Amino acid sequence: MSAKTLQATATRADPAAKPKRAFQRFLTPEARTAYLFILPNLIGFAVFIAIPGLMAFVLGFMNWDGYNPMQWNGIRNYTRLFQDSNFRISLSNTLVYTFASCALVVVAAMLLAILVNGKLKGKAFFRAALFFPHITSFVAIAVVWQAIMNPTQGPLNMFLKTFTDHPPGWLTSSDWALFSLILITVWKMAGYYMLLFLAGLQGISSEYYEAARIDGAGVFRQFRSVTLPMLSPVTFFVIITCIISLFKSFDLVYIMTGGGPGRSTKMLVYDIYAMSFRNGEFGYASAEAIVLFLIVLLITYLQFKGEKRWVHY
Amino acid sequence: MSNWYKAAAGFALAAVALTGCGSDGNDNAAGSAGKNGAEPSAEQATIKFMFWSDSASQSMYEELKAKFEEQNPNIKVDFLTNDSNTYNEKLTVTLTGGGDVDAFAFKDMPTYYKLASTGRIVALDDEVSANADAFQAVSQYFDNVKIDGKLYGLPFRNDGWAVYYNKDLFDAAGVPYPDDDLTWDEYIELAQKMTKGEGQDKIWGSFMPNWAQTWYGEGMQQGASWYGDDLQPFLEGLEHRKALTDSGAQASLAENTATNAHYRTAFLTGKVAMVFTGTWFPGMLEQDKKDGKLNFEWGMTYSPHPEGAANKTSMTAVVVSGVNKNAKHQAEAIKWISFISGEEGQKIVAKYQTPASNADAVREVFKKNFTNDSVNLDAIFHLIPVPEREVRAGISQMDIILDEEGSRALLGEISPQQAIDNIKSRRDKEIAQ
Repeated sequence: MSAKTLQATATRADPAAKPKRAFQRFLTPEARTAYLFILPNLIGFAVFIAIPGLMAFVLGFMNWDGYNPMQWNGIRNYTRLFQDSNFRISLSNTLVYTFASCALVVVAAMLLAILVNGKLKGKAFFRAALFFPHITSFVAIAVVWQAIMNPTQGPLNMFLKTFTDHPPGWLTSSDWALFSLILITVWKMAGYYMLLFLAGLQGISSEYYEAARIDGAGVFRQFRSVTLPMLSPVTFFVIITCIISLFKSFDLVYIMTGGGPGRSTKMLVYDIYAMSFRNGEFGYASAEAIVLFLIVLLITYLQFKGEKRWVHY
Repeated sequence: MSNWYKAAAGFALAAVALTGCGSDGNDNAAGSAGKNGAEPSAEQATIKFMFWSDSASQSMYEELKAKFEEQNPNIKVDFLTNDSNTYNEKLTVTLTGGGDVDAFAFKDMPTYYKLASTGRIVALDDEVSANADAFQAVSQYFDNVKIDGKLYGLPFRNDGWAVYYNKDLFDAAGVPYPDDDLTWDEYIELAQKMTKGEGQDKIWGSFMPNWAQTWYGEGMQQGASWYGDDLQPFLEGLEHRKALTDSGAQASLAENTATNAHYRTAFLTGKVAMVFTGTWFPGMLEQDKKDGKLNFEWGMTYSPHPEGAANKTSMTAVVVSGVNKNAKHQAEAIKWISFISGEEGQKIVAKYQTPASNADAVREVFKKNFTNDSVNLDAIFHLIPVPEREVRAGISQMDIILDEEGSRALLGEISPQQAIDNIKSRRDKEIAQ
C-alpha cells in the first residue's frame, strides 16, 4: 500500500497546494511517522543551532554584557563595525586566507587525485599518506610546523639559507604569517578533498578517454575536455564546502599565532570570540557574526548562480 | 502502529542520550542541590565554591575546607572545578546562566573587572571595614583591585616579579652576583657582560617571557598610566626590552615564539645567567631540584627598577576571590573567602602558593617549602607593589592592544615610538569610555 500512497503524495506535492491540503498531508500516517523520525534531530537542531542563530540576529541590535538586561542599540553596532580597525583587518585577513587557501586546495587536491588515480607504484600508500594530515589534530600539526618554520634553526630556513641570506621569518613576521597559515591549511586539507576528487575521477567512464584519444586528443586536451567537465559537480561541491569551512576557521589561528604577530593573522571568528567572551560585548560580537553569515550566504548564492555556467550534467 | 512505536522509541533514545550528555559535568552541583532541598529549614548551609583545577590548588582547597568546616560546623563547602584553560569562560557562563555558585576564585583581572563592573559580584567594603584587623596583612593590595573605589575581591595569592640568577655562571665569569638594588640600565649592562659564545654553546645574559608586562612594567613602576597623556615611561621600557634582544643578550621574541621557549626550561639548561619572571618561580625551582633537574646554585633579588623609582618597587599580580550577588548563602560565602584571606587560611595557602599576606607567621610557613636559603623571602614579601594591570574599563582590550603593538616593535617591524603612538590611537578609538 505504501508505494501507491507515496506516489500519490509525491504528485500532490506541488508548490501551489492549498494550506488545507498541506495540513492533510501532514496528517497522513506516513508523514506523521516521518516527522517523528526526524523530530529528535530537529529538536537538537532547534535548541543548539536555530534558536541561538535567531537570537544572534536580535542581539546584533542590542547592547548586552551577558548579564544585565539588554538595551536596544539600533544599528549602532553595525555602524561601529565599519569604524573598527580590528574588524576591518580581521575581515580582510579572512578573505585573503579563505580565497587563497581554497584556490590552492582545489588545484592541489585535483592534481594529487589525478596522480594517485593513474598508474603509480604504491598507490595505496600515497593515498593514505596524503590523507593523513586531515585526520591529525591541529594541536599536533601546530607543534610540528612551528619547528619546521623556526626562523633560525628550522629545517626549512636551513635549506633556504643555501639560496638567500635572509630567509623569511614565517610565523614570526607580519608579512609572512598569513601566507604560512595558508601553506599549512593547504597541506592539511588537500588530502581530504583529493579523496572526493578521486571518487569523482573513478566515476568517469574510460570510454570518454578512449573516444578522445581516437579523436587525437593529447593528455592536456583530455584533461581539459573530459576530466574537468566531468569533475565539475565534484569541484562545485569542493569549492563551496571549502570556502564555508575556511571562513569559520578558528583553531589554526588560535593555536599557531593567536592572531599575531601584531594583527597580521587575526580572523573574524577569532575576533568574534574575543569580543564576546573576553570583552563581554555580546551584542557587538553578534553583529559581527551576522556580517560573517551574510558574507558566506552571499558567496554561496553567487556560486549557485554561477553553477549553471560551468557545472555540467 | 509498529512505525509509531519505532519512532517513539527512537525519540526516547535520543532524548536519553541528549540529557545524558547535558548532566555529565554537573555531578557535584546536582548532588548538593539535592541535599539543600532536603533540609530547607535546618541551619546548615552548603556553599558552592568554584576554582580552576590544577594539582596544587585541589589539595590546597581541600585543606582549607577541612579547617573551615571544623571551625564552622554549620557551613559545608562544596567544590565546582573547571579546567584552567576554559575557566574564565565557564565562570562567566555559570554566572550568566544564573548558576547557583556562591563564591569563586578569579583567574585574572580582566574577568574580575568584567564580572564586578556588570554587577554580578558583591562589594566587600563593609565586611572589610568591620574586620579591618583580620585583613591587615593583605590590605596593601586593596587599592590595586578596587573598581571605582569599591572592593569586590579579597586577595589570597600574590606574585611579584624578581630576578633569578645562576650562581655557577657568575662564579665562572668572575662577575659579582646582581646586587639588591638594580636599575634597568644596570640589568642590561650586566646581561650583556654575561653573554658569551656562539651557537649551541652560547651563554645568554638574560631571559624573559614574551609577555607584554616585561616591557611595560617599567612604566607601571614609575606610576604611569596607559590611560594618561604621558606614555614616555612605557616607551623607555619598550626601548630597554628591545636593547636586550638587539644586543644579543637575550633571545629574540621571534626565536622564543618559534621554539615555545619557557623561562623554566631555559633556566634549567644552565645557559641563562638571569631570568626575570614572577615570584612563583622559586616554587618551580624547588620542585625541579627535588626531581634532580636543577644542577646549579641559584639566587634571587628584587626586580630591576627605573632610575627615579624606589628600589623594591615591583609589579604584582594579585589573585582574588569573590561572592556571587545572587548567592543563596551570601553571608556564609563571605565568611568562607574571608577565612581564605585571613591569617589561618593564608598559612594553609602558603604551603602551596605564594600567599598574599605578609604576616610573619605566614611567611614562616612559606619558608618551609624551601630546602635551602636560595630563596630571598624579602624579595617576595617586602615589595612596594604596583599593579600589573590597571583594573578599569578596557582592561581586556588593552591587554590585546599592548601585546599586538609591542610584539611588532620587538620583532623590528615598527619602531618603539610608532608602537606607543599606535597604542595611544587605538586606545582612544577602541576603548569605549
